[in-house]
Order: sequence, then C-alpha cells, then structure tokens
Amino acid sequence: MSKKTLTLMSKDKQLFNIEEHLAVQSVTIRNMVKEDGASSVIPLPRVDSETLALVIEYLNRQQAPEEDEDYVKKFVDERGEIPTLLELAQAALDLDIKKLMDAACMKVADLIKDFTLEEVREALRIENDRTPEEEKAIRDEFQWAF
Amino acid sequence: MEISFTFPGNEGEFTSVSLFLALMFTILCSLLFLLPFLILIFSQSNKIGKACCNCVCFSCNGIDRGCSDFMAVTGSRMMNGGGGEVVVVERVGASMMEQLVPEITTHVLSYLDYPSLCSLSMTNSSMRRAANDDNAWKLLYHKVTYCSFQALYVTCCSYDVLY
Repeated sequence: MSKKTLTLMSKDKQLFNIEEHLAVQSVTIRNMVKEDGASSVIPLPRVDSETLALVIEYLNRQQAPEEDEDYVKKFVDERGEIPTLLELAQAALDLDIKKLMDAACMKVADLIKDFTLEEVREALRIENDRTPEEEKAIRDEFQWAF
Repeated sequence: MEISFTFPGNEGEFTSVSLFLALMFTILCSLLFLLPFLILIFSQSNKIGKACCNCVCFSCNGIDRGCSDFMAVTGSRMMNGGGGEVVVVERVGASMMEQLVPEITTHVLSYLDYPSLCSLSMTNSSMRRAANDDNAWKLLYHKVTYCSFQALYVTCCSYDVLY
C-alpha cells in the first residue's frame, strides 16, 4: 500500500492532508484518484473546515472494517448536536461516504423524533413563517395531531 | 320420455341444494376470515387509523399551500431558546434544514415516524413541503407494512384517501 498523501480544501480555503488509502473510503475521492491520479488539491466547495476536520477524523480512525458499525454509531453519538450532524451528513453526501451519512441522518432523526412542534423549531432553527391566524386555522383543523 | 322427465328434475334439485350449501359454506368461511380484521378495524379506528387518514389528507391538502411562499424566508434571526448548543454554532441563515441539499432532508425524514413528520410539516411552509414529500411517506408505509397489524390500518387509510 502506497503512503501517498492527498490534500483536501474546504469551503474556507483551509487545507487538510490525508493518506490516500484512507481517503478512498470516500467514493468521490476514489473516482477522482482513479481518473487523474489526484495529484493536485481536491476542492470541496460545500464543506466547511470544522466539518471537514470531523470527516478526516472519521476516515483516519476507521481502521478495522469489522468494527465499522459500532464505530460510526459512536462517532455520531459523540457529536450529538443537530447542526453539526446535519453538516456532517451533507459533507458525507458530497464525499459519498454512505455509512457516515446514514448514521448522521439516523441520529438526527432519533434526536428530533420525540420533540414537540416548538422543540423541533428550536432544534432545527426553523422560523415560523405563518401568521398566528393561519396557524390557528391549521391547528383547529388538525387538532388530533397536537 | 319418463327418463327425460325425471332426469333434469333430479339434476336441477340436486344442483340447487348443493349450490345453496356451497353458498352458505362460502359465506360462513368469508365471515370467519374477515371477523378478526373487522374487529381490529373497529377497535382501532379511533386511534392510529384515524390519525393516519387525517395525516395523509393533511399532507395532500398542504402541497398547494406550502409552495407559494417558499423561498421568501431569508430572515437571519437566531432562535436562541434551545439552550447552549444553539448559540455555539454561529451560522447565519433561515434554518438549518433549508441550507441543506434536499437529499439530506429526505434521508432524515425517512427515519422519522408519522407524528414527527406531522410536527415537522407544521413548523413552516418550506418544511411542510419537505415533509409532504411522497417518498418519505412511501418509506414510512413500507416500514409500517412489515408489521401486519399496522399494515391493515394503513391499507384502510389509503382506501379512505383514494375514495
């Protein structure tokens, strides 16, 4: 196994190094490496540096394939904040790391599963764009749901 | 002549009796078969069944409303009622979910159950559009179908919606 190093560039132009044999867990990077050897810097325009650091941490620590399932669960459990997890899921989608994306999405779903309406709004920072009258009308119509 | 007279009569009598018996037997069998289902429907229709029906209708009704004022939300006010962790991440934007690509939203929604989907669709109009996505409900349907009892509710519900 060659110890070639790849360089990834985040949205805010920070550079991260990672060994090629670890980076190819990402299908996107694997395809890039196959196509042109990926000698230059790989830009990731939608991933910010904090998230990319997390992804690199994930890729670096993942060594034994048989412990993957437990490891990825533990990895997302340690980062139990919804904004972080969503960013992580998006980065995993861009890099095509399916396990990480699935785990992050599942964790987010678990976190918001038992929330009430207001809690969901707070957790995802969703703004209510309805007027109180509109909302009341919907509430009255679908009372069973609340 | 005699033979030709009695033979059809006998045969007709025999046929009608056997037909009647067969009919009764069939009705009895189908009643016995349907009985548990009927009991199940009536005993549970006030709980999950009703909720499902309304929920799906709710989603359908919502589509035309939800789209109109989507993208109008560009406010940068932070919701800061959620405690410490919300304040830590200082990102400006309408909401986390709207900044994401639709795949992520759909993927997250596919892990949710129907009360959460309903809650989400209430939060605002763009989330309503996302939560009304057919794929999420289809996945939910298939997930639920694995459990035979709930499959029945959902089947009833989809009939209610269709007809």
